[in-house]
Amino acid sequence: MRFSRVAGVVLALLFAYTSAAQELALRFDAIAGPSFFAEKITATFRVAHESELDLRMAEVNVVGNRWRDVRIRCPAITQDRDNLICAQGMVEAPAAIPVSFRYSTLTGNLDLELKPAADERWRLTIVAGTSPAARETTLVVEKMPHTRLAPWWPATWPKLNAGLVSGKILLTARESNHVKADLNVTNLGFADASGLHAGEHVAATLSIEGQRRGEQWQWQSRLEWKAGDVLWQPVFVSGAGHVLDATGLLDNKQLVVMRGNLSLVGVGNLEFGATLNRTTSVLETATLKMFDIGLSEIYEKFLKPVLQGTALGDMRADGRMDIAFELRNGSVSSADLAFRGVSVEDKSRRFAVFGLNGRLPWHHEQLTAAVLKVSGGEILRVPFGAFDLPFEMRGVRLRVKNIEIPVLDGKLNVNDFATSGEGPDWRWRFSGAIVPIAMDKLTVALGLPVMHGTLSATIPAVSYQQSTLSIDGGLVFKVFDGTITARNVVLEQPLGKVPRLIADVDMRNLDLDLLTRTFAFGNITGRVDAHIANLELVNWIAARFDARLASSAGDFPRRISQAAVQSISSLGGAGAAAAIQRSFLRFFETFGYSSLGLSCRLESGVCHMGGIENVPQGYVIVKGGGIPAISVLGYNRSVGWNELIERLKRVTGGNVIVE
Amino acid sequence: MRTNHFVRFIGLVVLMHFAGSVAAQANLEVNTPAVAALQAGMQKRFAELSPLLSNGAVGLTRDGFVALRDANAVPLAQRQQVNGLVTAENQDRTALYREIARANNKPEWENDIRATFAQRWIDKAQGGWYFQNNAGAWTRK
Repeated sequence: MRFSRVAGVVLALLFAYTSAAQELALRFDAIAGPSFFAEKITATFRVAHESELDLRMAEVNVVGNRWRDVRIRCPAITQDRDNLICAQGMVEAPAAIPVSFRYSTLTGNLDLELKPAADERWRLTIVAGTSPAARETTLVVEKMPHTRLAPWWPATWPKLNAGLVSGKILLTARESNHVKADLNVTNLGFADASGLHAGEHVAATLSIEGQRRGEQWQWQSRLEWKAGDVLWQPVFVSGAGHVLDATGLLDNKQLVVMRGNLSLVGVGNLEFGATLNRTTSVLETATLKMFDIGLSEIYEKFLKPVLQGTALGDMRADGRMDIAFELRNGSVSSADLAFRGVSVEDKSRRFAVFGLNGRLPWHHEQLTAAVLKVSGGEILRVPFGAFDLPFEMRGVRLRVKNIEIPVLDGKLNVNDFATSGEGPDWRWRFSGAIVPIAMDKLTVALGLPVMHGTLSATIPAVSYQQSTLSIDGGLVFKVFDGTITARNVVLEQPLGKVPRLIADVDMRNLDLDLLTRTFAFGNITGRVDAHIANLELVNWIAARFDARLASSAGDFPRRISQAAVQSISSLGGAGAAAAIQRSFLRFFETFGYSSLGLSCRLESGVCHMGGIENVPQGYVIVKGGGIPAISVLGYNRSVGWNELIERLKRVTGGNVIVE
Repeated sequence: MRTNHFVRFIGLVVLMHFAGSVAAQANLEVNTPAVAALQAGMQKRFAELSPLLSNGAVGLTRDGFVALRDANAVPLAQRQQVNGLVTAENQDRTALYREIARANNKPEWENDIRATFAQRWIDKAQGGWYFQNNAGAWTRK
């Protein structure tokens, strides 16, 4: 590469003789070279006892830095054979900068040094060689402050605010143009206005080498990031030996990365290639590949910050993965993920998947199919077992024909699972069935008192849309020798901050004997029906319902134990329980009753209560019958729900489980 | 022998605390399990948010949320975490406004409730905290 060529025409060569001294003035329109441009140059030599050089330039541009009205003076210019030596010159304008140079009039070699600041040094060496093609130019900078990079720093990038650059740039013109730069950056800082794209104390070395062939440059580079922190919202990475190697091509139309490798310490290697259209700034093609990477590292460093605030934002992740992406015109056109022993587990225990294995190929417009194998997991604390997940994908659509998920001792069958829609309108649905699951196992899993029986269901449709899961059809629980049917089940934000369950629940023929033993409430024999309309659980706590419980129709023994009477009484306060103890009733173990019933309409934290019938003083909860008989009346029609629950907890004695 | 024994429910303290008249007649103090859970989470988070509100890194927005006002006031290594804190707080606030509207049986009041809360947060802000004025400009209290 040529260092300089006189772009303008020499306008004038003036020889002016004065009586006192000889003066020689040279004027040039412009001098231009790679990364260098100067215009309206006047060089004046005064030859007297000591020769003096006075150089003025209307404008100088060095690697993008522009100065106007530059003046350089060398008060004592000496000659040593063919060398002109300026040992102590000074750039006088626009700033005082010591300058020295040695120039050979014979070879054209130049050795120039600038000291713009106490520690900062620029040294330009030109070895002209025997022909212009052999010219070699070296620029060595030491501790150049970041401010000198500002002129060519793209305006849209975060602004530099600290840093020193040292290094060497070598330009040679041999054979073809060749450039080689080795730069060392220390304490580099940058930030955008938001502070979310910023770096601090970054230390790195950059080696770049380029060779021009015709209109195209072949280049290779290596960037070693040695220290410092970078936040590129949402990802934060500390520099600790990460290395970026790349080779490619550059011309007026495109920037091509043929082979790129990013080695991230503690994560793995990312291989990449890309073609960037320089006219449109569109990433026309790109490939990214990572082999055998640890999901734990990838999740903690890169995925977790991106997923912050979603259901996947706080998990333990484990296992190994291969990841490959292809991009076309700026968007992902295909992907291929391989999972080996992958496990993810929500730290709040809302879900977990263990032992995920298999390959997941995806293409934005072609149909792909694969089978993933899952060895187990958990959803809302209910464990599930191993199953195969055979699926088909095309774009954002996913289909799964049939899966059988073992749940405890039963199964959840999922049929015709399909997604549709995009973005916020993304939704899925399936039909299915629950093959009986033992209630004792389910209640243990859910941390509830053990209940015996089964849960089964035929589900015409489960659909999910806008963070809401809806179940058509009924979930049938066969418990306490009766049935509980849940209908119109809607679960809003199942994995959100405040999950909300809405349902209508019907209970038929529940055996009170089994029920009261389960909850250690005292014994009641008999059967009840209950209907809970508009049940709303928020955060799995009852927020609203309209419930009515009453003895079932039919002929069956109806007895209530003293303990159960006391339990019901205790709900009304300690005084009521004591009343029974004071009377002769304490001698009886059980009492007869003809019917019992209770209603509660929960609204705004208050239970509005009623019984089987009203009496002037209140309402009847247990209506006596048989010998000895007992009736229990309720007086308060409005009871604070939290207080009622607290009392119920005390009565059931911390949920003593009765098998 | 037949005996009736009357058991009387003792009047229970209703924990609900109804606070007089508020904007749009909504009860902003309504105490449901969801509201209580959200408020407990927010209260716990406040220990971490408080110094950030004091040094101006985080400010109160005019629409009832918090925002990262000056990330540069937070050491670089903690900025991502602070951003997460702001996201989590705003998720809780979104849910809180929705739950209060629902507890009032007026889900359509969510935006009004949010606006009322926005003003409340600003009124209750400590001296030195930043908030957005009506024009959206950051102002120091």
